[in-house]
Amino acid sequence: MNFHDPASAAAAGTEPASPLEPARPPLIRFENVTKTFGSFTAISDLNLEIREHEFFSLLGPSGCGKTTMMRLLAGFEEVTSGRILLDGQDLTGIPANRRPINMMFQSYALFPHMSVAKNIGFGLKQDRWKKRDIQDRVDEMLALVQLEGFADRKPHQLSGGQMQRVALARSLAKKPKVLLLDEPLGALDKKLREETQFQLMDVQERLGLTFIIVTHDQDEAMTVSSRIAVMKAGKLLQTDTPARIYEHPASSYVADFIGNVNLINIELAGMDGGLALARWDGGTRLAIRPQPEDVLTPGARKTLVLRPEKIHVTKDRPAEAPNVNMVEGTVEEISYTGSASTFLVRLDGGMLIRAQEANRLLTSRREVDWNDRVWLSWRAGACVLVDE
Amino acid sequence: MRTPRKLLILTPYLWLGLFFLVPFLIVIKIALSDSVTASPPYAPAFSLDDGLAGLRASFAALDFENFLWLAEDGIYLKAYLNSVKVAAIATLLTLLIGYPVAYAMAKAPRDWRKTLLLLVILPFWTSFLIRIYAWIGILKNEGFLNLALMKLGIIDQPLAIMHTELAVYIGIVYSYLPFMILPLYASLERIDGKLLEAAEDLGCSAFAAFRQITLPLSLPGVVAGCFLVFIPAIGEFVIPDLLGGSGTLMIGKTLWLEFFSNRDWGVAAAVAIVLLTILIVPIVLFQRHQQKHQEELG
Repeated sequence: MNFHDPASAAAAGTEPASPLEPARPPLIRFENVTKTFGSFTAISDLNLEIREHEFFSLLGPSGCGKTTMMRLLAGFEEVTSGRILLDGQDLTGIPANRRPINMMFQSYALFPHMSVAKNIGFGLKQDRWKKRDIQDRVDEMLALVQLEGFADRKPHQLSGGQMQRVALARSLAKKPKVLLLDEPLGALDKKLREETQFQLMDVQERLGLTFIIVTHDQDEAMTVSSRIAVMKAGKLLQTDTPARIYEHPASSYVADFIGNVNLINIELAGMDGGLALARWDGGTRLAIRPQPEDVLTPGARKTLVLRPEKIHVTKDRPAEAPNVNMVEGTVEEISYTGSASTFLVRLDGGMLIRAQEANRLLTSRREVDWNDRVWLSWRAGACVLVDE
Repeated sequence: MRTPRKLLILTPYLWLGLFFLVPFLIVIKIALSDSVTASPPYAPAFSLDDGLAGLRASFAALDFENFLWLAEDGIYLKAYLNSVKVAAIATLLTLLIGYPVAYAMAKAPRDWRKTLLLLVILPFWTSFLIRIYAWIGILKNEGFLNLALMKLGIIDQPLAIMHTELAVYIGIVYSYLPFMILPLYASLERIDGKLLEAAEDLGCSAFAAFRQITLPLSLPGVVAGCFLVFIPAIGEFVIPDLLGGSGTLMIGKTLWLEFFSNRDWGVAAAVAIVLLTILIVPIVLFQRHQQKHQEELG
């Protein structure tokens, strides 16, 4: 994200390039892409690079432009300005049926009048493959998605999960350079969704393809992707690995969009050793271990990003230490989710903080209860600063 | 509780029995009777005047003479065959015209579709008979069509369309077009646009996608539309009578002639029953198809 010149970014790559494996040019490149529908701007001057073999997620709320990005790639929409390159080739003007990119649709879009085998072989038939070769590839694909024996079924005879797998097999049959997946697991129930996520990752790894997935489900994006682009209103807010997105969000919006978070407005006071000191509204002093890229001007107002699971909830005051922050408050609400409990704690200054503890003990032995006075504590290295 | 529910179920059966089955039995009975110059113009007329013996004698007098007559005189067979031919060709023409119309309607912007649908149904607001009479005004030798073509200098002799089979085709296609368009539109409009995108994504040209996706998925509409046109067109009487000439032999007209001109109710009834038997085949096929389609939709 530090590189603003796409050429130098391509040359240097985001990861350190080893001398044995020279950094490859990106497989897909969005160059200043803008897409408008009438007066509505769906994508606004967007630059993005996606490398080969990536499992890349476009994540954002509905209407953020992620589906438009996918439709631009597939060729169902043309860019208003800018261009999209695939393997260095400009895709402008190349119709959807001539792009080496296939798509798995959200609703699966299986052809209802064709058998499973005909559906999977459809793309091959368009390319005038020989009957026997089609048969072989269809069998291979059926094995890949574990649907052997379903070749002659019609889509309406399949369960939701099976339809999803047929759709996957159909979109992979032509061995596209890029597979686009539009909310691929949206219609499945939670348990099946988790299973299918791992199946998708497995397939992607085995075939060595580039997958681009559009989703509004952050858990899904976190689980499957090698990199995530968080979008809002036609712009990319942050493009990074799931861990970086979660732990080092570039803005409070990204922090808030991914997972639960406490966003605390603070004012920087100064430095003490390696730690930044800050004051928050109540005057409480906080210690924060800054990131190398942080610009720390005393007096600057920033937002502290503090994840609930990084906060300890104890009845006794924890031991004082320079790198430990602590505040006192009253438990207002406890929500139990099985593996963890989330405590809503009202600080004496009036602010509500969300803290999460793993349920290491049975709930009956839990020492913290409703209306208890508790101490919340977290280490200086457990939180990050973003611009207000 | 029980009785009212049974009554509710019974009502349609009573309706069908009273207004369909009983009249149909009467028609069968007339078809089996002999033609006489009397009122009613057939014998025997069942009556209870002579008691049970009289009724038994009446039953004994019924025979299949009228049906044999239909088989002997080639004119009836010709009329049946010609009706089937005219109905089949008219159905095909209606399909060829109706499909593009229905397709354009289904592809039109959503806001327009209701209006377009209304326009298709609009002719029904005018009497069928009046619309056919209007076609006489258009097609006759000094009608609108010929006058316009002659004014434009395309022809200098009026085209003889009126009182030909062509006029009958024009009449049938015009009158039955909505029955073709409506089921076609219904099945075309239901097709998920994502299917065509998927086909395109997998390498189809627009035409290939139409041939492999749209056309097969609209087939239920094609079948329904064809039956809805073909079945009534076979027995059509008004259009061949008003627009066709004496050369246009159709069974509906033959039936009318037997009934009103010849006053041979027996033969007319026999013609009607044979027509019904011919129609039962496509009707049963149609029902089968609809049922299968329903099952496929799950």
